[in-house]
Amino acid sequence: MTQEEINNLREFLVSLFGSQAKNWTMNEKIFNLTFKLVSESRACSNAMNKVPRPHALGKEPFKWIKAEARRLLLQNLKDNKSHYAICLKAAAYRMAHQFQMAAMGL
Amino acid sequence: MKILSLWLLLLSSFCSAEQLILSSKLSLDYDPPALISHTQSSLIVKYEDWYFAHEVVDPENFYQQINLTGIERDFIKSLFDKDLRKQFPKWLAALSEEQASELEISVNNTLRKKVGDAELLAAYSNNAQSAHIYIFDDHSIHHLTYYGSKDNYRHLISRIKER
Repeated sequence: MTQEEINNLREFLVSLFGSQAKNWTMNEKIFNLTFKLVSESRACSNAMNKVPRPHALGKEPFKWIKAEARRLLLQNLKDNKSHYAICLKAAAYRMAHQFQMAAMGL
Repeated sequence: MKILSLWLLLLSSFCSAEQLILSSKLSLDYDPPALISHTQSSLIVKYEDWYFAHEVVDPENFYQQINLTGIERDFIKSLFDKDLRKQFPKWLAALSEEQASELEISVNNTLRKKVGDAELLAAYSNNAQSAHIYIFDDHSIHHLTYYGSKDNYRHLISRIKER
């Protein structure tokens, strides 16, 4: 990921998970979990509009999503973080430990 | 006989459980893990194909946008008991319903038990192969997140004990 993408992803995750996310390593696992969190959410159905269909089932998103689509997705999440933080809060609570472990490379 | 005693001693040292002290009244026995990790808010205990994580519920940071201080006990209990939501304002009842749905908590998979004076509420999701366990202690609520098989989940629950 580029530095801009890392910053956008971090800013989005801080809005969801609070200050703990400031210290997370923004790695592929974190991106994949973010993709999973957002794509599985019924409440935030418009969040994935920037990602071309069909999604490659069974493959890690970081590996199949094109760089430009990834950049646009992360930009969108960061720009609308207040909205997404509300509609994703329940899913974020469910997945919090997965993010914590991914950030530590576990 | 001496050799047998020695073997038993060696064997017991490999099989002995560790104990996680949760509070002055509660503990959790657990087998030696593959690794233990501490994040800002949680302790993660990881095995080859399962793990559990422990945290003390922080009502201010349960959700980033909503402070549950003062209502956290009722809110968490309402995840397991729909009737409690009737006492809530509409927005809180909706939030409880949404969260219960996300955690896949239902009447069919809810477990209730007492650990000494503490109340334990838990639910295992076959679909997600995960569980959320809440233990209501005197002054705090413990939250255990679990990923793994249902058998292991039952075993973990049985090892939460009164001290």
